[in-house]
This record gives sequence, C-alpha cells and structure tokens, in this order.
Amino acid sequence: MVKHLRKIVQVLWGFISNGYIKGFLPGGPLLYSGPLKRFCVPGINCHSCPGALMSCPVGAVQSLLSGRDRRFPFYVVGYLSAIGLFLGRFICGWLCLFGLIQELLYKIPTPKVHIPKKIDMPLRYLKYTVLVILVIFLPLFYRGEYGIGETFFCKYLCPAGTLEGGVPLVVFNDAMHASIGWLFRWKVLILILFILSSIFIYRPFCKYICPLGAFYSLFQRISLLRMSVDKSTCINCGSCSNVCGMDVDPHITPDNAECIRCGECMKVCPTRSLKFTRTGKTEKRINKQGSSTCGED
Amino acid sequence: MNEKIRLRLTISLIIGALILCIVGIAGGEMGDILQYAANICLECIGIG
Repeated sequence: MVKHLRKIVQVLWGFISNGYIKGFLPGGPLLYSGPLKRFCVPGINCHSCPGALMSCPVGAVQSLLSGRDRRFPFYVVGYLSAIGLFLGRFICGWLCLFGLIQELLYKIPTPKVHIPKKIDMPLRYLKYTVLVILVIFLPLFYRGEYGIGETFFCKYLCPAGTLEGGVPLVVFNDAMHASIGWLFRWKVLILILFILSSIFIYRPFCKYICPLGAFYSLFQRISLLRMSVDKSTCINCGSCSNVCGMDVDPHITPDNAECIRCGECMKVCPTRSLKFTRTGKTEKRINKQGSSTCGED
Repeated sequence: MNEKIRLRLTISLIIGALILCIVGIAGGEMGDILQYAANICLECIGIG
C-alpha cells in the first residue's frame, strides 16, 4: 500500500474534489453551486466539471482580472503563494487530477520519447510565458465590446477544462451538444494532442504549459518542504536521475524548479540518501568513519 | 543562502500570503469566485 501511496492519494483527491455525484446523474443539476465553490482547489481542476465541488484557482484569477472592475485576486494569490511556500510543487505530484491522468497515459507500454535538452530546456520556460500572458496580461488588459475581458487560458488552451468540463457536458446535455462550434473543436484538438503526447512524454502539460506549476515553481527553492541529499552516503549511481520523469538530477539539484516532489527518486535510492526535509533543518550525521556531514540544504 | 535567512524569508512570505488571503476574504472575493464558479463557464469548456 505504501508503495502506491501517491497514486492512492491522487485518486482519492480526484474523487473528493469531484465528488458531486448529482452532477453526473441524468436530470440532475449541471453543476454544484454550493458554498464550497467559494474555495479553490490547490491544483488544476475545472469548476465546470459536473462533479467539481470547488473552483479552479487559474480560472478564478482570470475571472477576477477580466471583470469590468478588474479586481486583484488577493485571496487566490495569497492562498496559492502560501501553498507554494509550504510545499513547493508537491501539489503537482500528489494532488493534481490532470497530472494523474497524464501519468496513467504514460504507463501505456509504448516506446517513450526523450526530448533533447536543447529543445526541452527552452520549452520549459513556455509555462511562465503562459502564466504571464494568458493568465495575467491578456485577461487584465484586453476588453471586449461590453467592457469585459476574457479568460484566455481557459478559453483557448486549457485541456483539463475540455476533458473534465467540456466533454462530459457536451456528451450528456443535448442543448450543449447543439451549441458546439469551432472553439470546442479547437479545444478538443488540443486535448487530443496532450492525450497522445502524454503516452510518449511524461507529463507534457506539466512540463511545458501549466501556469499553476509555473507559479508554484517560483517558491521551490524557499519552500518549507525541501528535498535533501546526504552527500556522505550518496554514491552517485544515477538511479534517481534515471527514474525521474521530470528529467531532474535529484542528487545534484534536489530543489530544481521542475521537481514535482513525487518522491520516486527516494524509492529507488539504494543508500536512502534522498529524503524530504524542511527549510532550516540542518542535519548532522555521523558516518561510519566518524566525520560529520550536513544535508544538502 | 544561509539557512536561517532562508527560513526567516519563507516565514515572512507565508505571513504576507496569509495577509493577502485575509484582505481578499474581507473584500468579498470569495463571493465573486462563487458567482463565477457556480455557473458553467461556457468559455472554459469551449462553447463561448
């Protein structure tokens, strides 16, 4: 059970955050609209999913910025910052439903694609561009004919919204089905692209596009939850680097902005040199030779 | 970065983040989020 703890947590969280069963029943209300929707989930989870009990923070930020009165999202930014400061990108690895879906797709036994670093590294910065331009800049400054902006990321890019909200609503609701147009087809195309690429590339959406992952990664180096390497016991075998789906070298840069704190590297480390720790906790270990060493903090 | 400085920075930022949350809640932001999220976001699902 402990071996699959992360998967269990991911699945459970997926059910809990999308636990509005009535939304899936024929003739029931399309969406939950109770008080829990005031709160945001910590990961990407479309609030237009029939089962969604809480709001998507990325959608909430855009809706507040794009409103007629352009409100700064104090609560959402504070909430996400606090999570980032406590946990870094731990949420990406443990509590994101769309991340779980990509991981499951990656388990399909096919030859896997390893993107060369020359292409991979610049692409990693794309998610920061998405965060700044599609989530902040355009919703804030673009205004339509009624003085209201648009939720650009949700409208034109987010595959999670199409999968969790769009597809179920269109499939189970005739009125919705009748009103699909080019935009829905565009979004389904993007969804298919991500589904297919997830089979060959580990979490492509998280690596290259997710604005929430980009935001959390800003706190990775100062978050309370950290990953540390005991240099006195690490034998540089490379097992951790080989198993890392996010292509991080945990024994070299344990607090890399791309690390989603999934902990897979800790499982394969033959000397148990990698572990979660917290900022400010300096470990002193006495190795077998009697010299003291500090954890990589 | 020195560990103590890093820890102080993190704790200061957490306090700042919590203050932001309180400001937002006091300003009625959660009501706005509810208003937005209680309805189907047609744009989000590509029917806008």
